Amino acid sequence: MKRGSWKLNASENSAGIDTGALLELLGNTTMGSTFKEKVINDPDLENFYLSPLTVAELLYLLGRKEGFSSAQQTVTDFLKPFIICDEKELRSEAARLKTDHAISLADCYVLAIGIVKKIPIYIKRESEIEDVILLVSKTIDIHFIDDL
Amino acid sequence: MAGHREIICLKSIKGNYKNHEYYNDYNMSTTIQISNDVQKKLFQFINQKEKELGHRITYNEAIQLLLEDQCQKMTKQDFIKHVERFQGILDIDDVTRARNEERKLEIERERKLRRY
Repeated sequence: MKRGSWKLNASENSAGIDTGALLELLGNTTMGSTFKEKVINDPDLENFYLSPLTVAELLYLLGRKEGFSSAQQTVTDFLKPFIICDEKELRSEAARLKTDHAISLADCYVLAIGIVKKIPIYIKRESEIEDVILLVSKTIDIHFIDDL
Repeated sequence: MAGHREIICLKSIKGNYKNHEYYNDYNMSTTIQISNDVQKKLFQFINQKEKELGHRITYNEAIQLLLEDQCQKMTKQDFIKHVERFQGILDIDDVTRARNEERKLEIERERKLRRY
């Protein structure tokens, strides 16, 4: 679907990203650089979706380091070209995931992006959610940035 | 205005619409005019979103969802340059440590809750 055409579905040219992947990117680690080269630079991917909880996580993590006001400015500036999902849109699926699985609410919201928007999700592998990922991978297209 | 439709946003006082829970966030009184074509597209969008979400959404929520897509549009090249400008702004070790502690606490709390 070309930009500017009537957009009913976000599935084409889109991907969701979790906090872990963004932190690797911002930390300029080897994993973050590979993620940038293979995902951010991918000409087929135009829209990157984030959960509102990821925004909150970035804010408090940077805020503790450089002060909240400065972090707010940095994060707002950095996230300008990213699409931040409406929390209401994800709430129900996130809650459903939280009902069934013992994972963090932030992870539930990221996975909910994959379900609601029907787009692939790029996440950093975390040991505590691996079992859950196996269970939900039939309904969500999940990619670990560790394996790129 | 010929060829235009008015959408009259409901004026409500919180709690007045007991049987319409999704009106509870509203506290507004605004009338907007849109063309028949835009109204048709907005209606199609609402239908699609309602199917995806499995529940009804209001015109207000539909417009909110559309606004969500109004992030700063950049060319791919500008987007890549923008991201590169921020690479290396944080110390990954510090941040990972802080985040892991938070996650550990949340997982522990979650597991305790699961026992009940």
